[in-house]
Amino acid sequence: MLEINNLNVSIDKKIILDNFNLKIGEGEIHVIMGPNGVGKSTLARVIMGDDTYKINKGEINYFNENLLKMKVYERSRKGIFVTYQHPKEIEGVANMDFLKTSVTSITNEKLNLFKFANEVNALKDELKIKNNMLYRSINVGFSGGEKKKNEILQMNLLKPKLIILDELDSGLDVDSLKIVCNSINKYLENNKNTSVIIITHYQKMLEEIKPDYVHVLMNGKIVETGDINLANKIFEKGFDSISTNEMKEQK
Amino acid sequence: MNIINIDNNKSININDNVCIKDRNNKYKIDLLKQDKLILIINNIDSEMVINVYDNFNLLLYGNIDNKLNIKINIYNGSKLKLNKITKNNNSQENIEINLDSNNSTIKFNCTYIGSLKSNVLVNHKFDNTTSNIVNHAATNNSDIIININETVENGIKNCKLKQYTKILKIDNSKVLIRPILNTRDYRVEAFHSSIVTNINKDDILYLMSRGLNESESIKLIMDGFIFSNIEDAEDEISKIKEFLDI
Repeated sequence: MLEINNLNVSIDKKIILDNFNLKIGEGEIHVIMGPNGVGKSTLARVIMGDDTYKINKGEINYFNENLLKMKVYERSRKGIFVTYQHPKEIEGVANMDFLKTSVTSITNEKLNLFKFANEVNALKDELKIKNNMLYRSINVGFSGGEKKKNEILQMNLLKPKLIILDELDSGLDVDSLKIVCNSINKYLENNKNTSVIIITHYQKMLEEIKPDYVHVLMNGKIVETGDINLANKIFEKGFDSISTNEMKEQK
Repeated sequence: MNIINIDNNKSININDNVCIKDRNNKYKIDLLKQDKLILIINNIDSEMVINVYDNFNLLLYGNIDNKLNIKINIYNGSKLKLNKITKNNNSQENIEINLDSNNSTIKFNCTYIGSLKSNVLVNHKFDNTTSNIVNHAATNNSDIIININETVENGIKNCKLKQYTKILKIDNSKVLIRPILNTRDYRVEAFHSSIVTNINKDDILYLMSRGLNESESIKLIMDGFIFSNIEDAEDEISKIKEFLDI
């Protein structure tokens, strides 16, 4: 579903991703790990279409369409969803109004308010979201955990085909992490073709959502790929334990 | 809440409480007894004088294509909670508020959409009077000037003055805020804040990443900003939106 070839991305003339390649099939769960500042969040934002970043070369194909030619909202309407590390607070825009507008934009159909309200209520209970959060301004005054739950509420309503979880686990306590991961797993169970990219530093997340592939991102590119054992090795011994040919050459 | 379309009613009496009279081509409104009222002030053609004799919650809204002149006098230590939202088309608004007795209070949530020049004048004429003015203005390719001038007269003490003005814009519109606080007595608490800001691009990106196109995102942010300034009349927002075609 997603194929990234030879991608080179920079910001303010600083190269963040270089010769980056990644291929994701339908229904696969991939993890991207790497030290701080290597470009993990940049990857999420570039896939979503944030024009802060300059694409110098390379291509991203999504279901055989050139993603780089699509606007942000077109990517969203095609089923790409990013949970942001720091979800935006938007004063004055009621969460519920936003959700209605967003679902209407994605489905391009008149909203069945009764069905929508039932779905939101069920998700509110599933995610243990307080009722007043639905009617307050988007993310304003929400705790870190509430913001992340709100992201997963949106994810469930917008029914994406590619989910990118950018450090979803930051700001979440153990119980809340379990709640949001259960919700994601339930969504994936009901949408078997949906793929996930998980960006994380923590083991707990991967205990809850089992990945098919684990990639290590360093120096702007993926330097090693494996399964959960690779993640466990990093959790145990750190990124210094990753020794690739390229890194050996650098040393 | 009672609703009066003031353009269509030259003289009316509601619940023995509110009188609207047409005298010398002026609208005179006496708010005599504690209540709530909505006045639709769509392109009213002459000056309006509102006398407040008891605590009151008043909502004013309408389109203003030319001029709006309102004078508000607050007596009997009354507290007026006033929400005003107008859609302007190169118009001028002059609003004068007189705190005409001890302990008189105004909480004024004033919202402007479109291009205009606004003059808000608040006169603290007695001791222990309080004014809290919150202006929100949103502009998309139109110019806005807001002058807000509050005065505490000589020898008048223990007044509280607070004014906050924020203009949200998305382009290179010319906007200007002139906040003035005049006081001739040191026994005054005064606060003001003025902000002009563009819509945050990251906010637009966030909404676009949830399927809204750019204009839908901007509209949602603008509407949210505008209507967040309405207090204790949230149930009326959908009617106001429909009336003002927002």
